[in-house]
Amino acid sequence: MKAKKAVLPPPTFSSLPPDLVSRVFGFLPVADLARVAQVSRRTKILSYADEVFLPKLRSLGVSLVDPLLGGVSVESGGGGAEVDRLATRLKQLPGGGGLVSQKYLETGSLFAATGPGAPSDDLEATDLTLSVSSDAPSNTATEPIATTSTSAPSSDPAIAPSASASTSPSGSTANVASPSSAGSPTKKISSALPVMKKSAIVVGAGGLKAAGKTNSGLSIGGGGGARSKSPSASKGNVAASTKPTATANGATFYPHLRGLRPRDAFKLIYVELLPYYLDFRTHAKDSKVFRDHKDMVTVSQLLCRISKFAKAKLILDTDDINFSLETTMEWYESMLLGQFERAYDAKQITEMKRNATACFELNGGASCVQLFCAKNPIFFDHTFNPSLVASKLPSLATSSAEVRGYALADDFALFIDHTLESCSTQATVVGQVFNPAMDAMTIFVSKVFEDSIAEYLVAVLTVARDGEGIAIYLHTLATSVHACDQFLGFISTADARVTVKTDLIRDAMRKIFAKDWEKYMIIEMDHLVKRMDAELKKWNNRKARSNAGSPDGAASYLTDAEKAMAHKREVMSTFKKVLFAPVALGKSVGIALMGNKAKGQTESLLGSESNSPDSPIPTMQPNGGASIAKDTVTYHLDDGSLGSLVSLELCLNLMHMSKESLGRVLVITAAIDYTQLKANAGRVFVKLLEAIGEGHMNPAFSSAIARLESAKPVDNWSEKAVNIESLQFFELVHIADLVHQMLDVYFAEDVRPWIDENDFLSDVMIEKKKFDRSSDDNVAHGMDKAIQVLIEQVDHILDTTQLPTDYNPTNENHVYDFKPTKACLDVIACLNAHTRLLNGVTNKDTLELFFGEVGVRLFNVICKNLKKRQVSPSGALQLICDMNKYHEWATTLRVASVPRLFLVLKELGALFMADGGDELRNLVHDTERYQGALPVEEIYELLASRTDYKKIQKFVEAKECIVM
Amino acid sequence: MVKLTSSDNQAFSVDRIVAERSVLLKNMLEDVGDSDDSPIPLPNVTAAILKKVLEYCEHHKTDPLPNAEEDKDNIDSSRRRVDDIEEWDAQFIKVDNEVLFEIILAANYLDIKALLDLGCKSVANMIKGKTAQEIRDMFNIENDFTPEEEEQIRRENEWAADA
Repeated sequence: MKAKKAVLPPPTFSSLPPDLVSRVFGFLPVADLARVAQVSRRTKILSYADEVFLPKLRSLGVSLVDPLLGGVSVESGGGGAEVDRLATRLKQLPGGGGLVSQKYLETGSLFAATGPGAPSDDLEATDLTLSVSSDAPSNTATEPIATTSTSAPSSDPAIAPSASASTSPSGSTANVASPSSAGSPTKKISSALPVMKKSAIVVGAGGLKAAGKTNSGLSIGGGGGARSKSPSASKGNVAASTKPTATANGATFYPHLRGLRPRDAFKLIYVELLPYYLDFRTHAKDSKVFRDHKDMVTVSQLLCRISKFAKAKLILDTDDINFSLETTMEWYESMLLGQFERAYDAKQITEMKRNATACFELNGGASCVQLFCAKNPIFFDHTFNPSLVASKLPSLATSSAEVRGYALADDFALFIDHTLESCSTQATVVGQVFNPAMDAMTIFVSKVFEDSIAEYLVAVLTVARDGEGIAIYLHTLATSVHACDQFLGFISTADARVTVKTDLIRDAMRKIFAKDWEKYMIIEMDHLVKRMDAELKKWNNRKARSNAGSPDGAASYLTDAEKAMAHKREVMSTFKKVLFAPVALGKSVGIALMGNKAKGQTESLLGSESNSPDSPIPTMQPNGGASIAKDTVTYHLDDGSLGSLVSLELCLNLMHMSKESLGRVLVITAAIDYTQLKANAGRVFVKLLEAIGEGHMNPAFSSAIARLESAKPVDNWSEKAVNIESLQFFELVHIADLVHQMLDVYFAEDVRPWIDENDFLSDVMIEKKKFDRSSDDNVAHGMDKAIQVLIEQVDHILDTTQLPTDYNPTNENHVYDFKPTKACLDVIACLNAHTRLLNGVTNKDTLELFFGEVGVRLFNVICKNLKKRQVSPSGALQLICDMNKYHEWATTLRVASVPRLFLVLKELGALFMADGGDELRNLVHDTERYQGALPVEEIYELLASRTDYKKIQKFVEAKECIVM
Repeated sequence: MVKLTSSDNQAFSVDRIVAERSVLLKNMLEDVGDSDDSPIPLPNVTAAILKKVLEYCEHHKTDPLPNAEEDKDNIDSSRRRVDDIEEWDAQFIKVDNEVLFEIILAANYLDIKALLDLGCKSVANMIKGKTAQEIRDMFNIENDFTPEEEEQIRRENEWAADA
């Protein structure tokens, strides 16, 4: 290469590297190639090159690679890339410019190994290429490639006997033979290829391009090693089938060309087709094609090949011939179609099949399939007339709007069923008549969708939307989508002999729903929100009415924790039964109840789909449990506490609405755009959260809290133990907890499968978090208020019932009975009532927080009460007794901080018993006793309640000076 | 801008988009990155030819680049008509044989497929319709066949000769 740079002889045609010469020859018509071959030995060899003929073969749609021998294909993505990379690298080497193009590396045809045992690897092969090719440009002699001199003139490799197996030795040297040491890149994959066939050479030469999009991924490298075929392999190939086989890249493999060099294969085809082709110069309908062959299918195949021959532009004056050929083919096709039509009308399956096959061989037969579709009776079937949809509905006089609405869905289902049946019949015909490769059934079914189903669908949906309203429209849409979806499922398995491309038909189905799908989610969400709002409003109105009466019927179960827990369990299990009861069960229940809708056939069509029309709970019960469930849900919870702020039944209804929408959304979205499924399912649940949270719970809590704020301590507390506002609030907390559990169950059962729970950024998860947080906030906020109310109540009790004489008996000889005072017992009763209410309501943490707070405040209230009293030494016994009682109560809370605090109360008794002097002084300043809960000042204030305060004052105060 | 140096040490400076018509240069430029702006030596291309090649690249700089896949399909040169050469290209390629071959070699070296095809088509057009002797004369090729061989070759190509 360096030498070249210095000398710089002007390049000539002879000094072009062989690959470029072959490239030039590739552009030549066949006749010119023949002349070029006669110019010199070098041009002869290069004009015979595989690279010249492989593209031509490819344009004739011929593959020399037997697809049945899988893996013969030399190229793979990886291999190709490897070659590209190598080539680039080589070219970047000094002097790389004169290098052969990368084709050499790919093909190995010019420098490939000849021996099976060629020991080199990839790299050696390319290195070798480098050296040889760098010789080439500088060698301006007639023999640019040294190694050819021996083989090329000595034998005539070009005209090979047609027996392919025997040609191989000369064939392999015919091109530019390579040094025998050249590597065989395929060596490393040879074990993967059971048959190292000569055809690999073919692939090697052009296969990189040919394999193109359809890489087997199996093999790599050049075809060099392919020449090292073994005799046994050849034999095996000869034994193979003799039928043409379509290869992956659309070309056809003809067994009779097996093993031929590209030029020889091309020659066979060219010699065969050229007379026919040239005949079109002078003949058309009387062409040699028709003179030589009578069988329609053979004629079609031949015409198809000739048309490819024409398109390859292998000879100079192609335009006139091509025009004549095209005209003839059109004429011939219309003749075939005419015969097909007559056979169709006469119902002659065999004749139809013959013509259909001929059409298929000619040009794929699309027009024949079209003709079949166009004539098909299914498109003229008026069993279901779109214009009569409305008139078929049950009359308004005899049935409700709902029944009419569901009749539409049923009608469409019947129509689809009818269509399916017709299609199944046609599938048999299609299977008998058409070649599977024609995709006739797919085209036919797509047309059924586009024409007859689309038309009927539009009619049904229009009637549904315009005549019956949005709810019916949505239902009809969902059932229609589902029916079509099922249709698709059945048709693809209808006839084992008929293959159907479901994807294409699904596209057709999407198309007919496209217009409705566009706005579907907006309408669905709008509809859902409206229904939920209406339901909320209805309940609010009812509440407003019933609120006029006093809400004294507060649920009694709340006063008993055990009962409350049992009740909750019952509600939850009933709830699950109700919400997830199989839809079909709903049919057995009275239709008249609360506007339940007749479902009839719709349901059986929809089968397992959980698309339950909005049935209120009681009607959804399985027979046996109906009455019990009704009691439980409607009475026990809701009606029993009409005055309450939250309705379980309402929430249940909202969930049902959401469930119904979700059912539709799932069916429709899954069938039309699966990618939207997560998002759409999430949107439905978000609406439910909004309705229950913002629409129902939040206002309920607000008003409960507002009531708590305005609550006054009551005098006749003993009757109810708890004042009504607190009771209401606690009941609310209970129900809110239940609703929350219900929502969780609903979410887990119905929603979670469709969404991505781990996607914390999705709307549905954000909303769910928000909902949880807001209900926690509500409860916490209300608890705070409830504590205040409770403490006020306790304060009130102490104020009103603690007698002045309790701790300061007037009668010094009062007989102390070691019983707590009534005030103390009342306070305890009041506290216990509240405690019971809370059991099982909220989680342990909230409870601990609540009782901790109650404890601290109660402690202060009791101290405050003591300060107001006069305590005599004899009354101190009573005081100790009360304090012990309080402490005893505190221990029942199971909240560690409270009993510890109340121990301090117990210690207080000593303060009132002590006689004075050092003992009292020590007591006052024994800060450990009071655990910091009572500062010294507080103790002074408490001591001030002592009747003998004057007497002890000096001890205390004296001490104080010291301390201070 | 990309700096190039021809084999006879002439410096050229072209837009990167022009230089990237050459797959060889494109790969090189991608490898070295933007940091290095030292001239790229092209030891196989003379100034005269490089000028010509760059003229072609400049004219075609906005053409869509063939991707690897297309490249492989397009190698089916026979599918494309030999005479479907654009007007500008036809004028461009009207050069002496020597220059034409130089351009082909340079296009091959620089890996500019469109230009390589243009050159090859141009040569093919020259060959088309000529007899063997005419071709020999045109390219100054020595007939190294013996008369017997020549006759044999003629016979074995008879099938293709008459069209």
